Amino acid sequence: MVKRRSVGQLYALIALPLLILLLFCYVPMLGVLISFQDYSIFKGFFHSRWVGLAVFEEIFRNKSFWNALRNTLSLNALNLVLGFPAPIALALLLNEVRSRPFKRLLQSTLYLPHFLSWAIIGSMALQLLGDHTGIVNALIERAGGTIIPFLSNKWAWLFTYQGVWIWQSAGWGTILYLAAMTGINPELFEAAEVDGAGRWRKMWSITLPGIAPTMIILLVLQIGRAVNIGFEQPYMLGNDLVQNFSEVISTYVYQVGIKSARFNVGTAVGLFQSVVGLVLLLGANAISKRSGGEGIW
Amino acid sequence: MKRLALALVALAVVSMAFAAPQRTLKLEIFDRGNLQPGVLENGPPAQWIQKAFGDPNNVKIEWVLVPRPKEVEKLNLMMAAGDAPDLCFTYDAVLVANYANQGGLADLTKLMTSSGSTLASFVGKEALDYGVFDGKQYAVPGKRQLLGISGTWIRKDWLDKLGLPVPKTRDEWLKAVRLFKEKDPGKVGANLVPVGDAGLNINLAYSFYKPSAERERSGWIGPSSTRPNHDMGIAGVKEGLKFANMLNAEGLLPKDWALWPKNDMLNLQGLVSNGYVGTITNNLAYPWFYNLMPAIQKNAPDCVWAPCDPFTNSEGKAPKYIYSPIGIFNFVPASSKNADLVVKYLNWMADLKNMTKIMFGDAGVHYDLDANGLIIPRKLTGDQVWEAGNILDRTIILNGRPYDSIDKAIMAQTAAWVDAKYPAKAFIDHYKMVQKDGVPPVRIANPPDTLAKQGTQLMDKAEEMMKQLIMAKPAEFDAMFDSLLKEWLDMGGRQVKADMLAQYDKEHK
Repeated sequence: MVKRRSVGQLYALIALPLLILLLFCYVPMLGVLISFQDYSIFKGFFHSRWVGLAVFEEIFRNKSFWNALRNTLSLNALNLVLGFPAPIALALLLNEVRSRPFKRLLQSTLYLPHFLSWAIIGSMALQLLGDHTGIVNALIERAGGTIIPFLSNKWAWLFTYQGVWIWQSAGWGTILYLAAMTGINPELFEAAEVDGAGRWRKMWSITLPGIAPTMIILLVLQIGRAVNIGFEQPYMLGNDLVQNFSEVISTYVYQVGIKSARFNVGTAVGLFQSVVGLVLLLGANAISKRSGGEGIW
Repeated sequence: MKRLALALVALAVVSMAFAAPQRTLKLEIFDRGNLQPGVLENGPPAQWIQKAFGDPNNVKIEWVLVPRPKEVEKLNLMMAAGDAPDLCFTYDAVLVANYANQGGLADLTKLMTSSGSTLASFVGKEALDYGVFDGKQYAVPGKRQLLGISGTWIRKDWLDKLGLPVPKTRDEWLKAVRLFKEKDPGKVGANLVPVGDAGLNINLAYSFYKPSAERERSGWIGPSSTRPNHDMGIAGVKEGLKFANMLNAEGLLPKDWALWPKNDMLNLQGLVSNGYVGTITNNLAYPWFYNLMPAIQKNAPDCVWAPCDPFTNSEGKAPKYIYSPIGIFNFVPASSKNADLVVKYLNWMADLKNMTKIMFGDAGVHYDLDANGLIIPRKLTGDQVWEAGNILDRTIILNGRPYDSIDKAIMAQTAAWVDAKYPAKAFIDHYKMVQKDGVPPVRIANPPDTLAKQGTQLMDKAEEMMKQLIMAKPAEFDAMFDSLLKEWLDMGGRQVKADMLAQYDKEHK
């Protein structure tokens, strides 16, 4: 009896969050139907004409869409190679810092950029990395070197983008890894020390395997997000000269869906993105599980 | 006694039941981000409009702020959500036609005859016709007073030091800016920017366009179809871009201009107000350049700007794009129940007395009239100020000032800057240059669907391509232009242009 009542209470507790989830996450999903309509803002959801897959056909015929998709995938792939290891390396380094106050100071400093808005970072990047007006290139020129087109050459921009991402996010990304590291049994380190293991050996044989499950889960999640990309970063860091590389799906949706008021096209691109994302996520999860690692469920 | 009391109560109840309830009228207004919060909704003009129009009509007025740079996006979202204000507006003619054709706008034809007579005669038939779609008055365009768009200024003090006349042709202009770079007459060193325009300025571009007939121009794509400098496919664009590419390669344009955000004004304004710039082309409808005069005076006391009109084409003319005789399109969404109040409000505003008050406040308090009948705003501070900011934003049926002559309108607009250096004549001369050889836009009353769908994308793409072309290495320019032009035409440019021409032919049989 007692048990049943407490279960009832738990259901009552979770009812409100579930309702919110239903109301704000599931019900709006019905809106994806407009991607199959010749949607008119005046006729609305219920009276717009049904056109089947015509909107998708239009998108797939459009070169700009494939360009945006390619850029999204390549920026994310590059991010996987350059950006993914960065917080791991940083966490390993932080873990080796002996002085606690110094470690705290370092951590706080590293977290700071995470709280800056991309609008600010974007204008900072222009001030620092502009071809002729940026400080970095001014210093290079003064030292007699040739300027680096960080923002104006599209190939250089790819790496500027990643560099700025790492600067902004790597510090914040260490949090999960540092938490995982504190979960490692200290006896393992002590035993290794008795056996004469040095710092590198301990890092390689204890710390890294200790945080491997966390790494794999984050990796699977990141692969699942390969077709997703934030709006602010490419929009604020990009400029018209590198548009061939900086136009990604999110900015494309803004361009076509919002600026040109073609809400059905924007929605269709979003739907396509979600479907591909789901496939990638399931795939990465299956591979991770099959190869004996952890999955996210 | 009892009976009387009862009768009184009954009367009170009946009269309460029959008194019309107060109605709420929502009016759009541009927020340009240059005013204190609250001023637009609650400042003196807003309060006065409530008192003079709202209260007598039992109407509560609410202002809906829309950020100026994102007006179209915001408007689309409000229309889609069905909560757009009762009075909306936009400069985008294609958008208005699109709304009207989709049945999204209220038909104002009858209201205009029944309660819009002052408004109709103020705006005039020519302008009103632009708001007619399918024979019905769906929008009330404002009247535009000054049709010129952009004019060029050049540093007179630098020309004088170099012994050069004010340039009258493109070649003279080029010679002058090259000498600015070589001789640095203002001694501004590394900060020098001989040509202030970021990229290709519209008058320069136009001087390279092949002179063309109206029918050809009907296929030109530009913002609201007014300014054709976002179209890769106009004959002569290539030569113009090549010229700008040369300016860039010679270091005559501002440094890193291509990295500035789209429509960025801050960087250029900074350079101009510090006195670093040799020549610029300014938009007359948004005269930021004039507003910088005090700063220029302080930072570069020797600086004197002179108007010039140097961008001559193959025929020796200096053609420029000018506006249609209309300002902003005012309209009422079909979802609104207050179309009658909107027409009534605009009709009330069309009374010059009311319009002048909304713009300037009271004579003898906020402004004085000078000998020419010009309104000279007093220099007031704090609570006494009528309103700062762009006064055109509230009196949306007139893009201009309430004067009967253009000279007066210009003198009034520039009165604050007139001094020994800049006599009123300089500004009037400038305006005459801006209008000289002007080419008005070609009107297509019902723009094709493809333009509404792809126009924004094509224009943004053209802007990007033009930036890339001007920044390109001169040796790579030709090949790059050909491939970008093909890409632009393939992505929709060709189709949209063909559709616009076809629609033009249909409307001009």
